[in-house]
Amino acid sequence: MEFDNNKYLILLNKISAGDEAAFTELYKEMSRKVYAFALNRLHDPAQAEEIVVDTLHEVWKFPDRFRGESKFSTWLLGIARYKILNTYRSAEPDHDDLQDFEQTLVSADPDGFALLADKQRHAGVQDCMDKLSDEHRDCLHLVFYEGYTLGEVAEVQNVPENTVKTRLFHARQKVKNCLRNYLSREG
Amino acid sequence: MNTENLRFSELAPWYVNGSLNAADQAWMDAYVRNHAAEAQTELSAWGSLQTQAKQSVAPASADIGLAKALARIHAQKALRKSANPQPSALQRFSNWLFAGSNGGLAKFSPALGMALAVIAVQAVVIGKGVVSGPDYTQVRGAKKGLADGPLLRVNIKSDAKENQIRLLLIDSGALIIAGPTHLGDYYIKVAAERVEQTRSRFQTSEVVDAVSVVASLPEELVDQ
Repeated sequence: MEFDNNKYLILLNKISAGDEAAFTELYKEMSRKVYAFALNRLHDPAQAEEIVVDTLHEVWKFPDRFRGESKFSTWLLGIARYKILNTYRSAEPDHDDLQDFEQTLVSADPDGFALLADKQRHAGVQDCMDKLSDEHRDCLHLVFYEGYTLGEVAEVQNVPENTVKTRLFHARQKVKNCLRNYLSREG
Repeated sequence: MNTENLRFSELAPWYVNGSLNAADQAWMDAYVRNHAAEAQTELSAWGSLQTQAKQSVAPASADIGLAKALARIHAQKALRKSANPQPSALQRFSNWLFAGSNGGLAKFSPALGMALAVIAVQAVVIGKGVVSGPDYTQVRGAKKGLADGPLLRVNIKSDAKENQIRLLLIDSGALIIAGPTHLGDYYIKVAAERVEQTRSRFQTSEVVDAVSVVASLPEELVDQ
């Protein structure tokens, strides 16, 4: 079970006094979460590990910056997101291939997605999710891996809540169209 | 799409991930009961994405990167310590000697005090020379093996403090192999796979004016 904010504030207070044991405890609590977020974006375990180190090192350097106004994990993933953008944005590939899928957009099909997702449950869905843009992929990760609320996803992504709603809608639509493409190739 | 449909569509992902507040949750429960077929289709679509999102990340150890983070912290602590060194025994003696009316030479008679002062000053001057050694900076060149690229040429801002530069280098795992040149350029080396990442990091640093990747060290900076 995740620590509550009070526990984090106590640890951060100790960290500001240079307590490495407190840092280690906080690190072990949060490292997997940051790693999962970074790996989902970068697809490279070494780079994801580097983001974990960078992000939590930032906590060591500036523990007083978290004031408990939001959930600690959303605050931390916001830092991780910033680190990823700063460090790897130039190396990120574009995902223009999704344009192909847009051409087969069939948004009025009520049960297409479930059928498609069912048939292509593993490799296909994953492949289609990998082809989403960074923001869309982040959004799905935060909603379904982290289980965040709308407001929390908006905080991590640093966008208004309506933008999150739009991103989710498009992400779902794009995955659906991608799966449709898979099926049509299979005949 | 009517208002009810729209609200259902907007709330569906949060219904699936279980993060709705009580009021929205109750509304969704009622909607799902009343529109079972349509609602289930929508919810199972989101459910597929949820399943995949949860399965897509390989589990990692809680210790991942911890040793690296602690090493970084220890290196910074060592740096800070070296930037603010404790006074040496000689320095402490010197401080005591010339302390005000409560200590040092003030305790002795004027003549004896004067004689001790001369001896003490000589000791401190000689001692400092022995302990400190020469203090100078020179332009450094690199040995041939280190000069192979890719390297980063970094121009540091003129008002950057040495401590800031050191922290940046340690943070990046970078090694200065040549510089500063007369134009203020440093040539640094990092593992080949981290060149691009380090370049990006330096670009956003407040102490760096410019950074670029170069294939090798200029010939004039290579020690033969």
